[in-house]
Parts: sequence; structure tokens; C-alpha cells
Amino acid sequence: MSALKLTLRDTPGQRLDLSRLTPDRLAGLAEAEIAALPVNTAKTPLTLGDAFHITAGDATTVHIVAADGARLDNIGAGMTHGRVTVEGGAGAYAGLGMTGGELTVAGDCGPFAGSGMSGGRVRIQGNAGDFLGGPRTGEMTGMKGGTITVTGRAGARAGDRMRRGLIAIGGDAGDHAASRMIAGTVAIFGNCGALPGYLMRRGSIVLGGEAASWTPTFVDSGRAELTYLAMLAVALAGEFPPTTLGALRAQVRRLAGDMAALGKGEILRLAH
Amino acid sequence: MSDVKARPGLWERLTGRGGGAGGSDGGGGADGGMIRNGLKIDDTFAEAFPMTATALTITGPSIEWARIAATSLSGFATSVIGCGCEAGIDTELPPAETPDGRPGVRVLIMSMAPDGLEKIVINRVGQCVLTCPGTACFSGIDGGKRIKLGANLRYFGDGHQSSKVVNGRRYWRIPVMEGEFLCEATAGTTGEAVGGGNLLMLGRSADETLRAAEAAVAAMRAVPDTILPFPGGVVRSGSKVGSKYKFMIASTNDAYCPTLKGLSETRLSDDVGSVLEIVIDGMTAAAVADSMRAGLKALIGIGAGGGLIGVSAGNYGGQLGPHHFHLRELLP
Repeated sequence: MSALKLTLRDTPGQRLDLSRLTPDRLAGLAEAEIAALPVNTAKTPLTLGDAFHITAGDATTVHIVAADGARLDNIGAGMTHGRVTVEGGAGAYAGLGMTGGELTVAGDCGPFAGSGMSGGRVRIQGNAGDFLGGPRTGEMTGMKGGTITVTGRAGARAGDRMRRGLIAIGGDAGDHAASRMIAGTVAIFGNCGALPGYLMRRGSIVLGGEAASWTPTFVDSGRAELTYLAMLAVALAGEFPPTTLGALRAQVRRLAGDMAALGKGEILRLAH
Repeated sequence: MSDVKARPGLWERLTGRGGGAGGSDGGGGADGGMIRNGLKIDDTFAEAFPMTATALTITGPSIEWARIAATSLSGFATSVIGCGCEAGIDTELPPAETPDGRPGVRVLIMSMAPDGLEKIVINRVGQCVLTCPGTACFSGIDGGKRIKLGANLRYFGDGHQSSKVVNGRRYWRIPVMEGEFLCEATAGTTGEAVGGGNLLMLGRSADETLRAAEAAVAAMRAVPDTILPFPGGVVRSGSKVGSKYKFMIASTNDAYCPTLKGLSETRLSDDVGSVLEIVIDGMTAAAVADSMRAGLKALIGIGAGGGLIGVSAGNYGGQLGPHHFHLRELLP
């Protein structure tokens, strides 16, 4: 049976909350019930059926078609299993709090994609906004597990307060990548903005290119080949071209820091 | 009549009374054997025992270095009696099948007591893989009670170690002079492993019997999930339980010693000049059976023309070990 397909009718006049559209929350719902699900965030009520054209299907895979998806928030939020695919873009908080399953967005994502996730996989084939995997206001940690891959670039504060897991960005990242990182790995195969690893405690930043400016409290810690990066190459196989991943198997330069915080983290510069 | 008592087993054979004379006396008798390619195959069985086992995948920058680490780790592990465990190389793995995409070797380590396995494995990995250039160590089996691996070895990093979780599994990165040693935090185990499957090869001369054993070993090494823990896979000194000496728990199996035919309750016909044994440990009983099957096929292929006279198997009367591998059922 084919996927449950939701095609956005028009660009909505308000931001929409699509958190109810995950395989686990849709399981067992009849077509009419699905169409009646509320998706408005403003006072004007709006149901799923109002905003989307619905083609019935097996809800273990939810396929959303949205040429302009920038106002579609919380896609895949809380997902535990199954697949959600977006043909187009997604708004903020895509994959929020996921514990399993796969979310694939063909276009761009807004801010806070993968925020609070602890398992599963988020695949962004366009660009990601700010605070990729980062915590919402008041949260003590960012993402706790799972994998986020971004084919394009990411905004500022990617991996902010990351606790565990893997973020891999094929292009550039913005300022303060992996700020306040607790642990985990953020791999940036392009360049990054200012001050990567600012106040980093533990964890690893893998950097393929240059930083716009370096956090001064990192210390040069020599060069080495790291088997861990070979494992990362295997884990990311198929997500990035072999030429990109090949640099993970070569010698890297290790910068230890942030010595202004706990200082057990590192920036690993590829091909340097 | 004191002469009779001095030769264990003779009284039982003369009087027809059974009972624990003990030892791997090839119980089941030579009656009703089968002939294949001129070989007399005893209608008997190998008696084997449950063991607790783990498997590790050791990778290296080249297959040679992975082999070196694996050989070192699985050395001095021929028998639980004197070595604490039985270990060996199961198979080699191509880069596509290892967690870090480098050439690898899978080793199996087995012990009788489940509790002792962790300490044995940590010691061996710590002394033979941590120390070996370029290598990394991963669990080679899922499931079962996990034993600590990198979770213990991490302390060698003296505070500079760090941990990574990839796809839900935890690994430790331990800084070493060479660079880093990557070791999975824990390894799986199985309580379904079986140790002590065996084949006895009776040949005309030592040389011919050894060549037959080599051929059998070559065929058996291809069977996955098994190891042949003895040197080159072959035992030249098969033992029996007990001894005339109180301090010896096992002693030479005189019934199969070619130079003691006139002095012991020999199981050897006049033309047998040498006997060798292959012992098999496997992750499952089915794997041990497959290995014995492959060995039997290779030996039958050599046949009487290659200087082999018979094939048998060792057991303790069937009362001790729950796993019985009947040669009749393993014939090609």
C-alpha cells in the first residue's frame, strides 16, 4: 500500500503545527478523523483537510508535498518509528523530540530542526536553519541521540549544547557551531563561521574547511589518524560522496578545547 | 588377579559390566562401523559440553596486522584445563563487513564458567590488541549478557580517554603513543556455545596421519562460527580422564597410543601406527556438527589410499556432556 500523501493546497496564512502527522499518532485513525485534525496555531481554526489535499494510504509512511513549506512547523515531531518525507521545505522544529524513525526533507528546514531528538534519523537535503539539534529555551541540553545529516549548509549555533548523537553537514555552517557542546559529534565538511566550539565541554567537531575566526582558548594538540573517524565514514556512507568521506581516513590536526570550559572536547581539522 | 585391576577397563570388558572407567574410550564400540573409501568409521559419537563464548572483531590497517593481533590474543588458549579459555580465529572479514571499513579478523573466546570470561577477555585484549599497532576491537556478536571490554580498558587513557556513541553502540577512544586505540565498550556473549566436538584419525604412519589431519583442518577452517583451538587445529596427545597419579586430572589416552598396544586395553588394530585428534569448539551445536561433517568428508576423500585406516570420536560414555555428535549422522 502506498504512503499517506498530504499535498499543501496554498501557502497558509498562519504557521501550522503538523506534530500530529507522525506514523504513531496517525495509526488507527480513519480518513475522516485524519482530515479533522487541527493544524492551526493562530486563533483561526484550520484542519488538516482544510490546508491539505489528502490521499489515503498506509500511515507508516507520511509523504508531505509542500512547494513553500516554510510555515509548516513540527513536522515529524515526537516520531517513534516509520517514515515522514517532505517533498519541498519544512518550517521550524522539524523532527522535534524524535526517538525513532526517519524524517527526510527534500528542501530547506527552518530553525531548531532535530531539537530534542534522542533517536532516529533526520535527513535534510537542502539547507538547515539556526540551532540545528539545539535546545529550546530553558532546556539544559540539546539533542541526546540520533543522526542529522544536511546536504547543504546549516545556520548558526548548529549542535548547540549537544549531549549525544551525530550531526553531519555537507556544506558550510554558520557562527558558533557546537557552542556549549556537552558531547557527541558535529561534522562540518565545508567552512564554518566565527568561534566554533565556544564553551565546548566534550565532544568532537570535525571540520573540513576553515573557520571565519578561531576560538582562542583551543590549543594545538598534534596530528593523528583516528579510527573513530573511519567508523564515522562507514556510518555516513551513502549520505555524502566518497571523496568527502575519504578525508576522514587521513591524518587530522587536533585542537583541544574549549580550555575556558571543561576542555575535553576537540576540533579535528581534516586534511590539515 | 591384581594384573587385571592394574589395567583400567579390562575387568569391565571381560565381565561385561559397564561403569565409569572414565576416559574418552570411544564408547559405542568398534562394532557396527561403516566403511567409506576403505576407511573404517566407528559408529560412535563425540561428546561435547556447553560453553560460554564471545566473539570479537579485530581490525587493522592491513589484514596482516589484524591477523597478528588475533593470533597473539588467541595464543596459549588450547584448553580450558591449563589455559583458562579456548580461543582461535574464526574467519577473516573484508573491509565492507567491519565497523570501521578496514580489514578484520573474527576471533572466538570460550570458557566453561560464564563468570570468568570477562576477565579473560579483558586481559587478552589489553595485552594483545591494545598493544598491537593500528588495531581496533569491536564486539563480534550481539545478544546475551554483555561483558566489559573498552569499558574497562579505557582507564589506560589516564583520564584522557573519551567515549563516542555511534548507532546506539558505545566505543572508547584511548589515546596511545601511536595515536588512538578504539575499542567497543562491551561485547556480547552466548551460552549456547559448544566445546569438545572431535574427530580421531587413525593412520598407518605419523606422516600420513598428519597429512590427513592437515587436509581435514583446511576443510574445517572454512566452517563459520567455529574454532580449532589446538596447535594447527590438531592434538597429538589426546587425553583420558584420570591417572594413576593422584595429582593428574587427565593423562595420555593409552587405549589410542600405538606404542602401548601390548600393554593397554588398546582400541587400535595392528596396522595403526599413529592417531591424531581434531577438537572443535563452536558458537552453536549446529556449527560444531557442520565442522565435523566437513572434516569427515575430507578424511573420507583421502581414504585408505592416503594411509588412513579409520576415523573415530571420543566420548565419556555419554553421561557427562549433553551434546552428542554421531559420526553416522555426519557422513557425507
